[in-house]
Amino acid sequence: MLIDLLRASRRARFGLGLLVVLCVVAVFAPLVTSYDPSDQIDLATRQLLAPSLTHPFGTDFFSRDLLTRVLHGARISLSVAILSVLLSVILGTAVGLTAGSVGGAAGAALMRLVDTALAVPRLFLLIVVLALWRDVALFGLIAILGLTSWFHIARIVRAEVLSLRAREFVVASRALGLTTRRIAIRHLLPNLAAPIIVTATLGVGQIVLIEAGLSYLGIGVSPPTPSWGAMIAEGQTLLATAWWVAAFPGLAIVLTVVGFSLVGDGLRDALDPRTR
Amino acid sequence: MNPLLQVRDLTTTFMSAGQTVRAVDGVSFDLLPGETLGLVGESGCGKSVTALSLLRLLDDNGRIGAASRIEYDGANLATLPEKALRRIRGAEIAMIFQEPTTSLNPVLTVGLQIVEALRAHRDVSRKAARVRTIELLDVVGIPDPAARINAYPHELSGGMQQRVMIAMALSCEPKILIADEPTTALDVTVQAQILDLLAALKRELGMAMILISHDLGVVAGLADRIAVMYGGQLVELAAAATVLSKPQHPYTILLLESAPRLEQPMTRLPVIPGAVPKATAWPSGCRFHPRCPVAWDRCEREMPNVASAAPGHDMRCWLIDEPERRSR
Repeated sequence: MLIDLLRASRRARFGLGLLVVLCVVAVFAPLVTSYDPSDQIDLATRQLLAPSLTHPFGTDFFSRDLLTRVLHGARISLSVAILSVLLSVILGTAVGLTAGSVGGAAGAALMRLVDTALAVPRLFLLIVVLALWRDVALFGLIAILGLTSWFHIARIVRAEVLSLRAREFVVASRALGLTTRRIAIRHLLPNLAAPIIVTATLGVGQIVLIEAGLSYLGIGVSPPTPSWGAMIAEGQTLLATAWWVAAFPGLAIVLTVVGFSLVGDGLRDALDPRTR
Repeated sequence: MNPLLQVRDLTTTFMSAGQTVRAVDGVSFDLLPGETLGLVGESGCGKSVTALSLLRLLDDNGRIGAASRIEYDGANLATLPEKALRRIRGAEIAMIFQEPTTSLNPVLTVGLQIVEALRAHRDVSRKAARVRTIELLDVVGIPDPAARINAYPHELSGGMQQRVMIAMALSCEPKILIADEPTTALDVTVQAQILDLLAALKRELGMAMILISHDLGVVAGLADRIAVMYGGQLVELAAAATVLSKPQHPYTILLLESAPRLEQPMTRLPVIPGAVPKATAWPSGCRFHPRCPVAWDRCEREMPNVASAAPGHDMRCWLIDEPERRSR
């Protein structure tokens, strides 16, 4: 059904195409290239080779095949982003739904806490948290990204719950004697699917960007695991002599973020005609 | 016969933009077992707020006055803890609303919504609830219930949607059904079908019903007694036949005159001059006096109390004290 909705917009179709290609090559990365992402093929002769048929994206300082690294980087970036968004959606929905359903002073207090957390710039919060760790494992990174990005989802969900609660079918469910919890789970949650899906899709693009930023700063995914951000950092000093080292992971980030943004915008337009 | 529900001095206020709005002001009535009480009045007279107050379904800014009592089965619903009240909602007193389209959850199948209503009060398995749901859909006259159970609300017509709402309300066999303008949003032919259905179900299940409508015609056919509301207050309460044929309150008289009749030739319908006053600024004295053809200076100064005009016939009007004024 969502796919049908997306077809309506050319930009959303383009975004969806990008994401499909990206996911396919990420999943089938080992079939697309025959190299290993951390294999230093031949430090003596294959260092910083320009793009060619044998190495379409060239090689890096350690003579690793860049196409392989970008593709495997897609696996890392996408799985980190999708899993952390999943975590943040679960947390944000739970908190927003609770705050909105309970209402009153308790709900307001919960939201003030969320506001406080939102007041801290996310990147600084992440830098501080990650600086306290050394060598964060991939799952640690996912957890930290997820735990710091649910605040605005909670706000969106709560706002949506408050407007749903004024709808007559919620009053009707109360008149039937349903508990607040039952109404929240049975009646409100299914109506929240649309805004949550939109927020999550846009969120994945954002997290890809944040993860790349953190890895670029050296506090995200730790080498030699291929990460687009870290690859750009490696290529930074070589920009004048070997532009491809930074350019291809950069392009990958741009395409991913654009893809998720287009699909997210398309979904929002399709699900909520008011924003059109 | 002991009343099933006793409402005494029900007062409901809303806080709106720093103002206190008295939407319902001192409403009292009894509901006898098995009877249908019609509640009529113009829009904005407090009918729906009265209904919502009975089950405390008001918005967060609504408050029921401390002196108000809603006695049901030895409990005061106005002060009953939320948890205990929840066990009465739907199970003992159920309610159906004006707009079936918005009263059903658009993203859930109608079957699931009825199952939810059942399982809110009865410890039944999913399977048993489903069987019962098909039964209920059949009872409210939905053709091919076994298939319709999987329909989404938008796949049904307004009349069918209202039948689903009725099935939900009746799922736990309540003793009282509050029907708030149950047919207003429907076509006239469908309206008649729904009213017939309500009458039949009420007889079968022996429920009492509070039927709210702005349309005297809707209430006339079903109600045993009729309560007329104006400006957040009850102004007249008597047996349906009495209210319809021998009304005493000037407002009720005008309301009846302004209803179209089949047997009379088409003429311009009489209207009650003026408009319903706003709940933020009720008139002084009797709330109907600015529009009342017999009002005199006392009506402007003092608010009449509800008093007995005849046995079983209550009215809020100074004409009880000074009946000779009417003849003028």
